[in-house]
Amino acid sequence: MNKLAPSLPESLVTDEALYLNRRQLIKGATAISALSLMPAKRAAAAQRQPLNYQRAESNLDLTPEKKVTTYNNFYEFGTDKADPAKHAQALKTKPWQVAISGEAEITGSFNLEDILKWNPLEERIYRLRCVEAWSMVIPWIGFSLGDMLKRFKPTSKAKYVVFKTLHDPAQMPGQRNRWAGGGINYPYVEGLTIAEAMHPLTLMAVGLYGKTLPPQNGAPIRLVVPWKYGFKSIKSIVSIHFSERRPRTTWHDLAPNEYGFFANVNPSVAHPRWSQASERIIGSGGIFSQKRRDTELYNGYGEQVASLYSGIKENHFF
Amino acid sequence: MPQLITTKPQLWALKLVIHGACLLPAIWLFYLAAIDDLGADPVKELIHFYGIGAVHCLFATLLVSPLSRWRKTPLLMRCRRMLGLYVAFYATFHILCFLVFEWQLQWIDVIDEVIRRPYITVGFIAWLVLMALTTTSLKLIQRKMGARWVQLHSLVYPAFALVLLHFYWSQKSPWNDALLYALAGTLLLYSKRKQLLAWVRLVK
Repeated sequence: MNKLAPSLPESLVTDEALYLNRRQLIKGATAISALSLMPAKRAAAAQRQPLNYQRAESNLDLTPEKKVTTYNNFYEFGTDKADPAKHAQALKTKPWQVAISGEAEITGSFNLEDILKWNPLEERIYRLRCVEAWSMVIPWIGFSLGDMLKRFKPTSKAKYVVFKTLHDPAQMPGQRNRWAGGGINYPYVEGLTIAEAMHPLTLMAVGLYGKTLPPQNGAPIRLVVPWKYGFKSIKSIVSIHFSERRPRTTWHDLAPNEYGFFANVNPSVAHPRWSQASERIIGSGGIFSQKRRDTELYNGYGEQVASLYSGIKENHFF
Repeated sequence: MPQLITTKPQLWALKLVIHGACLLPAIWLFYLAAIDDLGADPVKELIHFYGIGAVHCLFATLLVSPLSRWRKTPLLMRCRRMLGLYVAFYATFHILCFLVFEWQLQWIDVIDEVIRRPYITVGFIAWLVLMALTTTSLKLIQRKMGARWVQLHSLVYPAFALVLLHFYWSQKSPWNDALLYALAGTLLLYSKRKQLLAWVRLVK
C-alpha cells in the first residue's frame, strides 16, 4: 500500500481485459456532421517502454487505459479531447532535455536519461479532476518533484516554480495557428508555489499503466498535482525555473475570471459557467453505466495538503 | 436555370433522403454510445452530436426558402416543416442526454444549472421557442392562426441567434468552430433583414 494514497471507500477495480479488448478505432468520435461517421484513421501509435517501478495498491476504480490515453486536453495537438491521441503520435521525445534556471545554486540543461537515474520510480494512483467537471483515476509512474528540485539547491529567493511545455510548432499543430490551438499564447506555462512544488504528493510523472507516457499524455515528462484542477499539471516539460515572483500562467492569462493561479479543487467555488459541486466519472461502460460523484475539497487530498494554505490570506481556491 | 425538382415522386424521394440523413446518424451514434464505442466519453459525444445536429438542421430549414426562390422550385418549400421538426428532434435529444446521462436525472442540479449558467439559460430559452413552434406546426393550427402563425413562427430567427450564442458560449477557448457558425448565421440573418424588420414592426 502506498503510504501517500488516501484511504477511500472500496469499489470495484476495472477488469483489465475490459480495456485490452476494446476495439482500437474510435468511431464517429468527431461527431461534427452526419458525414463524419467514417472510422478515424489509425495513427501509428508511439512505442511505449515498460518501466521498472515500485507498485502501488489502491481500492480506487481505475479509468480504463484506453480512455486515459484517448481523452484529454493537450491544446498543442488540437482542442478536441480526442485530438491529442490522433495528432501527437509522432512527437519526438528522444533526446529530451530539461533546462533548469533561476534562483538555484545549480542550473543548466539536463538530459532526461540522467534525471531518471536520480530517483527510483514509483506508482501513484491518483484521482484527476478536470476543471471541466469530469474525473479519472490514473496509475501514474514517476517520482516526487521535490526530490528532483532539492538537487538544484533552490535559494531563499525561490518562491515559485515555473514550468514550460515544449514550443515546437513544426511538431505541434496547435501552436501553428489559432484555430487549431484554441487561441492560447504558447508555450504553455504553469506554476506552483515552492511549498506546493516540494509537497510529497506532487509528482513528476514519466509513465502510466506500467509503461512510459504516451505522447498525448505529456511524454516524456509531466507534472501531476492531484489536488488541483488538471490544467495545472503541465505536460511535456522542457523548462523549470525558480522565480521570486508569481509567474503569468497560461489559462489564467487567457481567462483571468475563469481560471485562477491556485486552482485548488473545491466543490463550493463554481466556475463562472458551470458548477464544480460534482463530477462525471470517466470510467468503463457506455451511456447507461455512467456515474457522478460529489467533488471533494482538494480533490480528497485535504488531509495531506490543507496545511499548505493555512497562512495564505488570498483566495487559494481560485 | 432548371428547377431542382418538379414532380411529386421527386419530392417524396427528397423527403426520404432527408429522413434518412437525419434519422440514421442519430440512431447509429446512440447505439455506439450505448455499447461504449463512441470515444472515451460517449455522453459528451452524444450531447455534442445532437446539439450540432440541431444547428445543422436549423441552417437547412432557414435555407429552404432562399434556395427555392433562387432555383424557382416552390416544391422545395414542402420540405421545410419536416426539417424544422428535425431541429426540435435533435434539440430535444440534446437536452434529454444532458438530463439523463450527464446529470443522472438530478433535477435540482439541472434546474440550478439552467438558471445559473447563462449559456445554458440561453439554450433552454431557444428550446422553449422551438417547442412552441413544434406544437403549432400542424396544418390545421396554421390555418386557424392565420397571420399570427407567421408572426409566431418568425420567432425562429431570434431562436436561431440564441442557439448560435449558446453554441459559442459553451466553448472553453475563444477560437473555435462555433465562431464560424456564428459568422455564417449572421450572414444568413443579414440576408433576411427585410423580413426581420417587417416582423419587428408587426410585433410592435
